[in-house]
Amino acid sequence: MKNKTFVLFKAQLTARFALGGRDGKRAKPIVTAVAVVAIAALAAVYVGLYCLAVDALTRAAVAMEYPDIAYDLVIAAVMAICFLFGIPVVLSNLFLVRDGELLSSLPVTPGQIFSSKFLLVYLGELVLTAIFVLPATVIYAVRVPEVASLWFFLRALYVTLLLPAIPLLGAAIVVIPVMLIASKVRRRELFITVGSLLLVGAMFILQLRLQSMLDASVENADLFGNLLKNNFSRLSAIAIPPMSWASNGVYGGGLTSVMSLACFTLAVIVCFFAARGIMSLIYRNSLRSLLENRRAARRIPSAQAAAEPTSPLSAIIRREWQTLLRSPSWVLNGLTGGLIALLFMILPLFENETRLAFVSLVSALDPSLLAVVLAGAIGLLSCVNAAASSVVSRQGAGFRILKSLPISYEKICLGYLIFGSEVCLTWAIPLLVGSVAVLGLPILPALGGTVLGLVVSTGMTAAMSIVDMLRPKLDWTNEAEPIKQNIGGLAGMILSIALLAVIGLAVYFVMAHTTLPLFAGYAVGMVLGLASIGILWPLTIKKAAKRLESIDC
Amino acid sequence: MLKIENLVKSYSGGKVRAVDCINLEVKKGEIFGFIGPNGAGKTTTIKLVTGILKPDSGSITVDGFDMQSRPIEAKGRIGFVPDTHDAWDRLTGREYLNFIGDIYGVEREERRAALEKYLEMFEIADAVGDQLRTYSHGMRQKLMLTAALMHRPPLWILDEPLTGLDPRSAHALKKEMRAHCDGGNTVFFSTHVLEVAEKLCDRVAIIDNGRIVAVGSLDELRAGKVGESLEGLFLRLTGESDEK
Repeated sequence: MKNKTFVLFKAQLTARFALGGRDGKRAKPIVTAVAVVAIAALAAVYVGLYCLAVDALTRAAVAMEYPDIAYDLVIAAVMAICFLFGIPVVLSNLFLVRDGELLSSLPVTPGQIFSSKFLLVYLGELVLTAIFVLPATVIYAVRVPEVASLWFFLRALYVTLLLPAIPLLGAAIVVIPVMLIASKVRRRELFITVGSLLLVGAMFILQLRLQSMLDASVENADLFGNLLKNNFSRLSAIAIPPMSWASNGVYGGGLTSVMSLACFTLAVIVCFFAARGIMSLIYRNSLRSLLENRRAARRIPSAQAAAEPTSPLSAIIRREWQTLLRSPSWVLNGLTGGLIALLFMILPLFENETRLAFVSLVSALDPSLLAVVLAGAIGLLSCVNAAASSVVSRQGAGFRILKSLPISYEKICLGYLIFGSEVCLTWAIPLLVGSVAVLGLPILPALGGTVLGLVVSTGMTAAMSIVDMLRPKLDWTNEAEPIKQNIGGLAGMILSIALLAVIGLAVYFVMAHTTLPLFAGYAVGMVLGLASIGILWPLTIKKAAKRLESIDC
Repeated sequence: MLKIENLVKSYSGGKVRAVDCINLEVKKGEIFGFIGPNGAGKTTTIKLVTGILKPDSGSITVDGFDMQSRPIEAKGRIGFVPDTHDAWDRLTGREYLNFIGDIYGVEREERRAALEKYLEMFEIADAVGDQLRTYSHGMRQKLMLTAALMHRPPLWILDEPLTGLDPRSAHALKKEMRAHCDGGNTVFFSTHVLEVAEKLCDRVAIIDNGRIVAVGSLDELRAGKVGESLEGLFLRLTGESDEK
């Protein structure tokens, strides 16, 4: 008899990635080839940039005679990313699923459902882990040649394969209290959304608070040096032992390495069975409570159900906001930029010295430069505008209804682009308020920077959305899929980063390498931003409208 | 009201012909039933007629407007009730109805009157403040019916409209279909329930393997075979088609 966990896992994997065969709708080979090459080329650029950064870090660590610490940092960063981003991923894939009803009706245990879904999440995070850890491993082997051996690479591969397990299981355990409380409250989805946002925010602030306490105990002002020499390894070994076991398992010698790997493996097994055990107790109830149909407390008289009419374009934009804000998955994944902006603005409040240093730096800089820096920050957050990069995919089966309605595809695309641009306000406003109130930015450069940031972000929205509009992923079983497992969305993000880089480089060139006043850099940014809107918006609308019309659904 | 000429739609790069050269004309003021076995091409035809799918060839004209060249005008004359409703689960019933009202440009008073009438008729007024994902299949069906009727469409297209409806709502729907036609409008619907088609339709078309195998009033289809039921007719015609 087949293992039920594996059967469930295989079925979900097949359903999610359509491994059982496509529906006959195939793109032209040349289009697929061009898309693959373009994505691979852009990805190579970003992996290359990451490698350069890791190489610089490793060389610095080697020069300070602590080469291992660079590898420690990579392992720590990957585990932290897996944990923080794992919280929404775990929520979306384990709890906020569409197949919950079906799975609950099958003769399988909650532990088997949890294990199969966890494996699915694990696979996704494994790709992310490999992208970060494997290049760092090769760089470490090049910079510290005495460790490079087949045994070293085999250990690195083994650690890479197991690395996402502990942070993801940690995220699953952290989510449990949220789900337990959520099953008792009336507006549970709102609670899950707010609870998860607070949880991620609290973790982030706690980590930085710990770091700031650590910094305060160091007399030497060389923060990086002290972190490397004295604190990081010690702290990670005490606070998060699996982190040091993982890195020691790779670069440690002889018995240390074997013992570390054994401890790391044991920790993964213990965490897995602990999470599975707890989930067995609460998973079915949590899933059931989410499936229950709760009715609104207030009856709306039929005559009052009619709202004030609005234009079809406004209706499209409003519906996007309504659906985005109601889904915990889409809020957590789509409005990440807003959360990051909020955290970065709150953070200096915890560190008065840092805040004062920022304030003094701000007062010394030219207003045009400040405006450009703020615009750059807004633009950077717009690079992770998943709400825009998955705007058609999120329609799912609803896209069929949209196709039957008397509204042109051009207008639908325009509505999506406006919505995508509006989302940028969720980080532009916190950054504007925070930069003025917390960092002491003068009002005029702050407003100028926000306007420039929004103009650039508006252009980026078209670059961000175009791939999803041309190749949407309309078949999905949980709400995280159209955002997290959407290659088109990822490609859109890469395109928008490329656009931001082009504009940023042009501004930098004017400001740093010409004799023009610094304001000229701001003006160049504005002109390029407006030009990107003027070129990319009509192009996206034209191409996408044609494509959406021909999609069979 | 609805004219379909030489309509063809294939899938899998032309290997599967879901709709194979269909010709059909539905007149103003009639209830037209579209019946056929599972996988015969009913839903694909309806998706083509409502502009969801693009035909490989052929034309569809709705109230004089060609679906290819004047899609907005053509779609604006249709009220469509799909067979599945797993869409935009996060909207409340009220938000969904107002969204549809906005797209069709339904004015406030007209909207208010329509909602008052249909929400009460289909007994879903209590649920209109809830999100669609909390609705049962039947409730979603009723909401879709309300949304489709809100702008008083000259052509009402329903894909399997009676599936999931309780007897009282099914009765109310059948009455409304007749009333809609009596008001000078047209109803085009697909169904598996042959008794309903027999009692309700002015004319029917039977589709099998993507082709229309019979079209006309029941009397015309019986072609002299007195007393033959629609079921017998259906089995005879689709059986013949399968043998071919």
